[in-house]
Amino acid sequence: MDEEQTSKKISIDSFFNRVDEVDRVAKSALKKSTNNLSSINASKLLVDSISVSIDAMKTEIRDIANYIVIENKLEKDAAEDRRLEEQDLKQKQAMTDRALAMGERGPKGDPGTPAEEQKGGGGSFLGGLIKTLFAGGGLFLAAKTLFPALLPFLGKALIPKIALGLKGVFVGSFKGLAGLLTKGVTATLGKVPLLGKAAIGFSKALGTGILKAGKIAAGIIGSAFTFSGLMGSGAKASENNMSFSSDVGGSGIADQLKEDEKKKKEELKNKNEKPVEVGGFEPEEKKPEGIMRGLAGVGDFLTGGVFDLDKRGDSVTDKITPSGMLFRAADIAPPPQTDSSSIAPANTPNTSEVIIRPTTPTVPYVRAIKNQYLSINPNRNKLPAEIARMIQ
Amino acid sequence: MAESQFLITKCLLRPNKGSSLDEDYDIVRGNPIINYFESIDSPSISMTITFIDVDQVLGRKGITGGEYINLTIKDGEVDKFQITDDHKMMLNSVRDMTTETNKQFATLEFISAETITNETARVTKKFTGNVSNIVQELLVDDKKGIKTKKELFKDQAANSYSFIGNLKRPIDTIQWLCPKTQSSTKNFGFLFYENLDGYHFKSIEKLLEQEPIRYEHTDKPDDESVGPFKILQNQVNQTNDIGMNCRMGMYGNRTIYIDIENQTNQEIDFKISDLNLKKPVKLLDGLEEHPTRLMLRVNDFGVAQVGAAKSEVQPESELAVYQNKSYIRNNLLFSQSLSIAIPLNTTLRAGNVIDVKLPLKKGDGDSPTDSYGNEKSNDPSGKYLISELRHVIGANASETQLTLIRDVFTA
Repeated sequence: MDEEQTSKKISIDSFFNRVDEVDRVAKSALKKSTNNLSSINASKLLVDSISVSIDAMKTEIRDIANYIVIENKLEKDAAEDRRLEEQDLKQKQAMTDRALAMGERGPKGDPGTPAEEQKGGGGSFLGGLIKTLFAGGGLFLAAKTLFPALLPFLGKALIPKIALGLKGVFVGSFKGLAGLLTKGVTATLGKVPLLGKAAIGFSKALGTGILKAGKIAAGIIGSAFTFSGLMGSGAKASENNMSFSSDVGGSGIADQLKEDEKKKKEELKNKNEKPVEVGGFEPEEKKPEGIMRGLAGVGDFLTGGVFDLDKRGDSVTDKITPSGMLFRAADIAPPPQTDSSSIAPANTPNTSEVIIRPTTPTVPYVRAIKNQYLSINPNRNKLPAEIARMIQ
Repeated sequence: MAESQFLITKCLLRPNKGSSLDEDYDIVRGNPIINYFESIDSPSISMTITFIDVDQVLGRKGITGGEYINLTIKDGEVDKFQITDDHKMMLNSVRDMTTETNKQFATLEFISAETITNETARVTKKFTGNVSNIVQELLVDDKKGIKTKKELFKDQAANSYSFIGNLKRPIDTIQWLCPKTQSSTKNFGFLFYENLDGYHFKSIEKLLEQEPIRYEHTDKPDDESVGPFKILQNQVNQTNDIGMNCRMGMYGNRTIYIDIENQTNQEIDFKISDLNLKKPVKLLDGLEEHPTRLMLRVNDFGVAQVGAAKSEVQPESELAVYQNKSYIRNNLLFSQSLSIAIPLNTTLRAGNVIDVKLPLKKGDGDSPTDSYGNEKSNDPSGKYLISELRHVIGANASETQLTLIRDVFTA
């Protein structure tokens, strides 16, 4: 017991020895922690710099993304514009062709199949008209009243054919009517000396109008079927024309087929990017001929072809005369306007929080070569007091 | 912090004859922070670029100076800010370089190479003729001058001057000529400086006649009427130190003009009231009546001699009178300055005029602050000349800092 007690006895040496040991451990730990801290600091700095780089990259990526989005939008808009323009052009062309076809058919006296159908009806022109109208009206009423009752029996397959047949009847009837009217007016009033031309024009317009009315009526019938939602989304009258037998719709369907064929031809023409010429409706700008051409050419020669009086575009001789050069220079010169592009910043204000910073160059040499002969206030130049003292 | 919209597309360190670098070194990926400086009293543009050099090229190659910089900053859709080989911006020094195990940080200082040419050139011959033509000779034509290829934009001086080079540096000589150059029959004072477009030897009078660019201070966040021409911060630096102004002879000075040949002297007094300013400087009563700076001038008759005969001398100019005036003018011009911070506008140059519009309260108390001050009001609004310009680009910041000096003459 005593031995144990003596061994555990606390002496001054044992105190100091232990302290030394602890000190060593502590120093080593401190050293390690200092090393760790420095490496952490280095890592932190590295992370900071990487984050700054990432920020810069983000900005770049955002710019690129914005650029792509804007480009896509522009392309999409341009494609949409092109598509609409083409569609518009086609519609206009189709309308013009139809009107032209009707206008030509009238005077030739070729009423075609509708005239024979009227004969079959056993009546005159007015009788045929009334009959056609009644037939159309009756069919329309029947379609409106009987349709719900017959619906389950007709089924989806039959409805489009009925609609198409009705549409064909309307188109054919109105076409016949237009042909008759045109022919009648041209044959009678067209021969009157003074009224002749006006009457022929009127008859053509009348024919076109009636044809349009027929188309509208056919459209109403079609839409009545379509609107009820029974024809289905894909069952359009024009699409079914190709598979429908011609004896149901008569000449109307044949015309529809012809129109479709024309449309296809037009599409082909458009694909070939050839300029579409429209009969006599949109005549090409008349070019001066003969003496007028010569005079216009002289005019172009003198004015440098700025006005293109001979309607024959630019030529080599347009650039020779001094007066022509003057005209061309005046034509080329842009309109006077104040140019603010050099002072306009490209960016919107992108910095909301800034501080006033010194603007004096930080390069000591540049400060040394500043103009000291302006004799301005040394407070601004930061001249030392001894230099300021030298000034008398 | 708002997002930045600038893009540093090129930052290329290019080798020069005798420099340590042997091939182009692109530092655009080193996340550079660019500080670009222009000043109307400095004959050199300057720039500092602080960047991280992970390749430690600066240390490995021992780069200390002489290389050129090629820099392009895309501001919006176009490369508006470009420092090309033609600008001849040369690495003047490398400072604050810290080296670590995986990278180096350093700040590169760039100056125009012409200033180094200036250090090695001395002019000795006699110059005579129109001052603007002398400047052209010193800067471009003279074989002992700078021989710069940069463009020199100069206003034609109204006076001619004769002097001998006296082994002075060419740019120092041009600066010395600045207060001696007449812009009109009664007005002195030219400035010589370099900006991004080239060298300028311009009369203060003409500079102040420029069409100003309007900048407004507004609290509205996206004011379309102001657009990018917005003052983000402003601070008036009143340097109207009356004691120092007296020492510089701003309110009144006297020139003692000694004619050695005829053994006579002439005393010419000049005071601030002679300038007939529209807005006179407020002074202590009668201070301008007492000249506070005396200047001694001795005419150099040897220089004025143009022929062998004694009578063949140049006519005496009134330089002594108007040069004193130019000192007063310069002091007045530089005494009132305004510092503003604006969104980055790399199209601005030192020497442009800005119309500063700051909000002005219409009355006391709750009166609205919905109007701007102008030249006639007592507030700091008005026309200012860009005296110093600094573009800060990098580290997610893009701003332009301007020090403006007040146009007290034409206002």
